[in-house]
Amino acid sequence: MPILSTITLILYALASVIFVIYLFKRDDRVRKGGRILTALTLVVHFGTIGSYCVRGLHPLLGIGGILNLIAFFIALGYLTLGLRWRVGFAGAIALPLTLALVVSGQIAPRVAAAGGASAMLGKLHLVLVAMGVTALFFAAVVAVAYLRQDRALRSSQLASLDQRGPALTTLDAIGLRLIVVGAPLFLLAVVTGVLWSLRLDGAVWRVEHLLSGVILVIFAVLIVARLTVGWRGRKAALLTLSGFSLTALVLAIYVARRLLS
Amino acid sequence: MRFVVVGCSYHRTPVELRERLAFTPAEIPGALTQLTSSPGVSEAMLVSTCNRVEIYCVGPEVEEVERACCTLLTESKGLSRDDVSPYAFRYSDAEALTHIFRVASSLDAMVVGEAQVMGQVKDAYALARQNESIGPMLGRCLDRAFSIAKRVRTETEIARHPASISSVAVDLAARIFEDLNAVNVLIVGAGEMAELAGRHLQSHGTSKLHVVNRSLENGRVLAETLGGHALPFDTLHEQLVWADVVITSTGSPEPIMSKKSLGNVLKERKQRTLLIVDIAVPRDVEQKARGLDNLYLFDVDALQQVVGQNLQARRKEAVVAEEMVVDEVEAFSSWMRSQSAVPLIKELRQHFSEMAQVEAQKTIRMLGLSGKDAKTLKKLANAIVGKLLHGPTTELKRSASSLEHARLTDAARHLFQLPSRRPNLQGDPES
Repeated sequence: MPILSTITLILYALASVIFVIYLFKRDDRVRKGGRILTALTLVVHFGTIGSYCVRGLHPLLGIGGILNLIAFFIALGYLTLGLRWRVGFAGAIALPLTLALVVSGQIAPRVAAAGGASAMLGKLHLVLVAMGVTALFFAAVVAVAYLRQDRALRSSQLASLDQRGPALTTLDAIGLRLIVVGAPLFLLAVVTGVLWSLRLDGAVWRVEHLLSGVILVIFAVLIVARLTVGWRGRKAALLTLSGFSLTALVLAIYVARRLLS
Repeated sequence: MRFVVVGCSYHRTPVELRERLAFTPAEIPGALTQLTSSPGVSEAMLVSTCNRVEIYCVGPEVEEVERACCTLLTESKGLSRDDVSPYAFRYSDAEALTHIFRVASSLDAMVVGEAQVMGQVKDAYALARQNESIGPMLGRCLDRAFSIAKRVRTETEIARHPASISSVAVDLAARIFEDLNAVNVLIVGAGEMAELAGRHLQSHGTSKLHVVNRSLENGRVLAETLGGHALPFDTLHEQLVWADVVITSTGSPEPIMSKKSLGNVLKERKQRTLLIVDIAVPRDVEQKARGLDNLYLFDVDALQQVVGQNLQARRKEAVVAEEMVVDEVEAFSSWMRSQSAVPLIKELRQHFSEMAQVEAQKTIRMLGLSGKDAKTLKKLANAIVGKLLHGPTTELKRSASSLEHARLTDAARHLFQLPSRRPNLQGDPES
């Protein structure tokens, strides 16, 4: 494993530990420390991706690269959110997940079998998956934040909330925007994925294709119900979480299949 | 110079005595003049609020300053020493510094963290400045106190936990709605608490405000006060559809908003989030409505619960702030002690400068120098004095807070044949 990859892994592990500590200690200095470390890690991670590119192993060549790219987007998304609001709890979700993705990316092959992901369609599919899953991941984080804040407000336990966290209606609006962006990207990823697998081995009916269909129905219902009858708040947050859980399951099946093949 | 505080505060003094001791803003300049014209008082400031009457003074002897303060508190208010003494406190030097730093930082306030007292101390300081009763010591001390107060407010969360029902209502609104400027506020009933909450919301930027009241006339009066519109009570349903934040405090013995009616309201508003703060007793909103999605309902007990949690959070933050105060008191005390070396340093400089100028003058005459050359020679003599005294000056300042200071002072006076005079250990920058 190149030295930069090892440093990236260690830094993500440290940042994850810091954010988990923050969950329990709620010390703002810990959160700030975690953010600084995440920023530093992102720079190193960017360098790692760059060093692979220099060696002709760009992220879209194989499953390892794409997992790395998703991890990079998630960490970057967390940092961007944190510029506007205090979202330390999101760091405690985003950083461990990023770490898990980077570790998986190291285990998974960086180069796909000949004639596979190097094809244009495969590359397009992987880019769409990376962007769609990242957007849906953040929609899920926002949904968790919404449910947490909703519960604290209903039980009058405001002390557990960050003083400068985003407002409830803002979380709701951000969640919707992320789904409006993430769901179409995911739809395109599914379509290109089906076409790609058809070209590779002629398989149309796979369990992840079926699950992806269910996910798309869930997000379509969510968007349409929101715009017509004003579905929002708790219901929307719960639906977003179930949609993302299925997305994560599809991703896990997909990764497992690619690794086994 | 010694720093002294004498006063009575809500901690030990009953309100009956506090109100007799209180000074009106018009009385304060006279009181300050009386203090500064008393023997042994060189600087003075008086803080008089509903919770405290405190006199901050600087003078060479603590006893003299205390005497002047007690005389002011008793004689000007027609009280005897026995009336005041059991309730009064007296602090000097580090204790007095700790007190003023804690007061300015709102750590000594009745509700810890309430910023009002800082404003009152600032007003007292401005008044004392106008009256020219603030000198270098008190001026520097107060500047330091305000800077610590600012640090406490910015570096701790002490000010971010609202501690009154009306401010909690605003905090709740801010946790639910991002931009309070864009929020529609509905006040149901024209009670005092609703008015207070309305004012708080208004001070945080809300501008769209409607008042619904059974008596339209009373509603109009409140609406005019808050810059909103009054509407008849039978428009309540439409107004609930319009509003984002509702503050209700009618005198109705029965709930005026049921779960069913609020369910219909939410449907009509397409489930847009609604915050209802019900400060009426008996309550105006049926408690079953609490379970409705996108409706956040808080009654007086829920608000009190939040206030309790916030006060607890403030007390936790106050521990951090107290540590800041301790550090600052140490730093300021050290500065005060270093000032005790200043008179000797001044004497040394004057002694050597005079000697150098005499010698320079002799040389100028001997060499027949004039104009620029003479000036350069005088400058040279002064520069040599500065260089020679740099080491001793630094050492005298450094040792000011240690036991060897007296020994060094005596040695300097003896070696350089300065008139013997033991400086005040607590610092005397000007004498």
